[in-house]
Amino acid sequence: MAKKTYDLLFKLLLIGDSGVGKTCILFRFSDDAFTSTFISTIGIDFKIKTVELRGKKIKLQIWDTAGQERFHTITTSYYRGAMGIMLVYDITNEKSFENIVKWLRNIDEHANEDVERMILGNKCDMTDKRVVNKERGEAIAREYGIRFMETSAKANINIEKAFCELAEAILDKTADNDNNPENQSIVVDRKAQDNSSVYKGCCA
Amino acid sequence: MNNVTKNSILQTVEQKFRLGEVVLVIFEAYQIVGVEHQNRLLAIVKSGNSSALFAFNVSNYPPVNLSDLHIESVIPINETFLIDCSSGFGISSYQFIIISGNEQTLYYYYPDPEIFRSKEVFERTLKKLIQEYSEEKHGDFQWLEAYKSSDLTDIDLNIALNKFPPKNRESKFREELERRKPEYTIHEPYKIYCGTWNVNLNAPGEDLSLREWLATTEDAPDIYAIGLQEIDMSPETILRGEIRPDYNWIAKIMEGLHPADQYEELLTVRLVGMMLTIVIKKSLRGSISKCCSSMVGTGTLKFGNKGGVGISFQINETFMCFVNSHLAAHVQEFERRNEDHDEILRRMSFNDGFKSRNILEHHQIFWIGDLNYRLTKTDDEGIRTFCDYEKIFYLDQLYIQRVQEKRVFRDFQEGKINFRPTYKYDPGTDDWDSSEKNRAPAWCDRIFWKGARIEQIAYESVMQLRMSDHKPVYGVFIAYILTRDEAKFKKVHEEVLKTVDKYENDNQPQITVAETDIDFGMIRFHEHYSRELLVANNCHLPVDFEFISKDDSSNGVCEDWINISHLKGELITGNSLSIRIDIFIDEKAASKIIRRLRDSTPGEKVPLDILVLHVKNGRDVFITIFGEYQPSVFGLRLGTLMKLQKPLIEYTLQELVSIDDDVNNTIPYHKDAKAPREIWLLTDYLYRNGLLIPHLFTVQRKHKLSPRICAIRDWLDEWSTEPFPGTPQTAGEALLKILEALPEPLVTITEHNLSIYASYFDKCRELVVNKMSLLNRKIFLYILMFLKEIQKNYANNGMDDRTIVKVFSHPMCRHQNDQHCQRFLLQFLANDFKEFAKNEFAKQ
Ligand SMILES: Nc1nc2c(ncn2[C@@H]2O[C@H](COP(=O)(O)OP(=O)(O)OP(=O)(O)O)[C@@H](O)[C@H]2O)c(=O)[nH]1
Ligand SMILES: [Mg+2]
Repeated sequence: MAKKTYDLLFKLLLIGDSGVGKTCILFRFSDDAFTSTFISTIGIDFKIKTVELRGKKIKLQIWDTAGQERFHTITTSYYRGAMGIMLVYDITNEKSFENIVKWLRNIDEHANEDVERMILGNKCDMTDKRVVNKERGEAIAREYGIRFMETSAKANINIEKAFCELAEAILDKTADNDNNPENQSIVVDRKAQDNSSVYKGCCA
Repeated sequence: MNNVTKNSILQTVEQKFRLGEVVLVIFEAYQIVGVEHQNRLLAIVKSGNSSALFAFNVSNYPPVNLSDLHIESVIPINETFLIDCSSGFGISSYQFIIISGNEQTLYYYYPDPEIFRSKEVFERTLKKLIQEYSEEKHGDFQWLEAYKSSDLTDIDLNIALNKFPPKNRESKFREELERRKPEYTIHEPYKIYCGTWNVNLNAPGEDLSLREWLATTEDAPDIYAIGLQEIDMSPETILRGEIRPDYNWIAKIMEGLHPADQYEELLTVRLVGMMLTIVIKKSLRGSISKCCSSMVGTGTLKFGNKGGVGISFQINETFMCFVNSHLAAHVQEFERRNEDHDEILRRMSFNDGFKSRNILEHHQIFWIGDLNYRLTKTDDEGIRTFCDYEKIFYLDQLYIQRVQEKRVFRDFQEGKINFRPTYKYDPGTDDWDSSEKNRAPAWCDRIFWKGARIEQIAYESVMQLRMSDHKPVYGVFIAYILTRDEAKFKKVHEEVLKTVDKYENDNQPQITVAETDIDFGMIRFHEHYSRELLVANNCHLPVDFEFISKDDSSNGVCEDWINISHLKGELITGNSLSIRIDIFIDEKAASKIIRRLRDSTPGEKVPLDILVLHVKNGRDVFITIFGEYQPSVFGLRLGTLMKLQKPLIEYTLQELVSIDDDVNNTIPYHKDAKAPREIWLLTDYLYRNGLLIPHLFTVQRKHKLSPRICAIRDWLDEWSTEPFPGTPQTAGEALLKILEALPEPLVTITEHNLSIYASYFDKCRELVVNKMSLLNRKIFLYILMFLKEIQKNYANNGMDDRTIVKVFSHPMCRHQNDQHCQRFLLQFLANDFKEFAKNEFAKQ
């Protein structure tokens, strides 16, 4: 009988302006549900979801951050230890797209150097309200050499795929480092997240 | 238990309860559970017209955290409640019994005079409550429901009340997989062969072949369990309690197995004459785990000449157990055989390193051996010649004990016996015992089984093996073993992972915060403000919260002018807590809050600080503290004070910051000003009203928190024309506060320089000229001249040099080590510097 419920633990982070849909994306991924009422996140939240990739069970611990401006300096302190960051903008909100550059700078300054990044243009179901076309999203992603995807938490488009792709990119990286014991444990949380805080090496 | 600990324990206990539930008395006792003394903290709690006795299990003494106390039982004080303190002897004179309903619990208390007294209070309180109840005849015990692990379905009260931690992910996972086992398991048939033979002390001879016994089935068994008895009963063997397997016999067994398959020995266990060997098909090796053995010697000396040996293992999902036993001999001794049986059942225990299980804790059990039960009727001849075994079977003691008396092998089954009694023969023949003992034949050698899904397909004895006075017996079974269907398992496993993820997500403790924005409105220097932050635990888990620092630096959890009444705490389900947040801008904080708000726009609600409320294993909540600040002269730079063209109150904070930022003085000083207006006003007032006052300044700063400071603040900030609102003492305090609130100290000479030169007046003067800006220098000399006036009036005001410098040195220099600064100031008080000052004042 399988003793461990997972082989690897990845910490992922969702960032982006307030209202772009970070919480909805996470809720869709973890509970396969959507609500249209907007309750802005005032703090840091996380959810667990285990996925299976290339025969490995990967437990994703996904942190949802508050997007409101006044929390920006605080939320950056949660970047450390994240192995993947999803940077979300809203295709119906120009400003949220422009801020991508600012968010990328934040990642540079505060996240681990080798963090895997991904840009998501969310709310792609709202075609009639779109102000940022897909090409612009692709262009900025290309410029920074980052993965990109348009998603919809509401219509469940690309949500699962985005998380799996990000996790897979991290998996690629960890596979390269598998022999290096120093890479076997990275403390994920700044405030001892107890048992779940360690990225466990492959120990099936 | 002294009073201090008693009070703190009481406080901890009180936290377990909700508003309106009053802890009347606590009493320490213990309870004897098994062989252990377990601490119990008894608390009598009243709510409305009803009361109850709570017994807490104390995991950490003295209890300081809520998690140190676990509710062990809740006993309502109603008509069935009784306390019985009638004493007995010895320990029992310290005992008392609590009776409620049909249950009674015995508690003891420590024979300590301190406790003795509190026991009386405890008893008295209980009796009073019983009395009260009996008068009212009813009470509303509804409130107790929250503390009983009763039928609330979706929340586990044991967890909610911190009695147990919630299951972790791993154990939830195992539990789910176990629960869904039927969905992914099937029963697969395995052929089990059990054989038993009392070999009557014979060693296996060269030419002995066991094939006739072990290889009689058509196809090869999957598992063999071969039990032998009396392989060696020499006194040495018995005394030594021999446990080393007899490899000659094992080799003989291996040779005799069914030739159609490959076998290997799984495990052998031996005790003196008894030996049990389990042999399996090689291909089964991977399906078997947790294999372990056990032995029990019975009889008066427990030497092991009688008793049992057993082997337990897990095959796929089924736990199997085999026992080989040799019970007490002699016809009349069936009761001893029964006792041997009981003892084996009771004492045989298998430990796989993680868990112990006894014989009956297996899915499938096979019990074989020379059980030694005889035929009671000694009508030998009849038995010896009888061919219809059914007719004499009712004479079998084991049949009587098992089937009629239900005394032994209860719930075990046996197949129908269709073979001659296996005992006692003349060795080498098929003839009944012809010795003078002339033993009656008996079915000593038997095979029993217990468990679901077992079919017996053979139960025979083997007449051809004639070496012993017993004939070997064997039973063949088809046992259906629980096996995992890998494809189905994978599917269930995936689903269980989802369940476990959900479980983990649902089991994050959460704190509910009434408001995440706390607005303090307008904040002014030197005034107290406070707000309540209501937090509650509305989730089904205990909440362990703590305010944490916003970044990884060692900074505190908030600005140092904010105070939080509870930096951490625990809340059980349903509890709430009001956290007080205080703001007080003192002289140290004044310049900081101005800088903090420098980029805000006037009139806007500005975050003064953001608190991070962390919940252990859960989400963090951000609490934003909003407010505005009304700047005051306290906290501004000297240069800024010199540039003010109108009452300070008429400037916005942002304007003041921009003047403060003008360090190169592009804005000119207010014309004619030698010193900032505020410093001048205060010293001028003191010149006129303070010089003769005894203890105008005190080292303790008696007027530090005087409310008049606020009046002086307004008087200064508004350029008021009213009479000065303070006293000489508070004017002095305000002067000191202005110095302390400056963003940088007035005296900009380093501690190092002062440590070297403070003893030489000319050097001190040089430092003042070289190390201090002209403005600071002028103000410094200005204040010193005033201090010199105070010194002059020593006869009236009693302020000596020492006191004066002690009061002013830190506000002026802010050095770690105040000694040098004091010496430095003393130089000026001891020497005449009028000319020097005049010179400096003249400079532009
Ligand atoms: N049409 C549409 N609406 C969406 C989608 N995703 C989110 N929304 C809506 O956008 C609003 C904001 O979503 P949230 O997920 O709460 O936003 P957030 O990024 O978490 O915001 P903060 O917590 O303030 O940082 C909600 O009203 C959602 O219903 C989407 O894919 N399509
Ligand atoms: Mg959100």
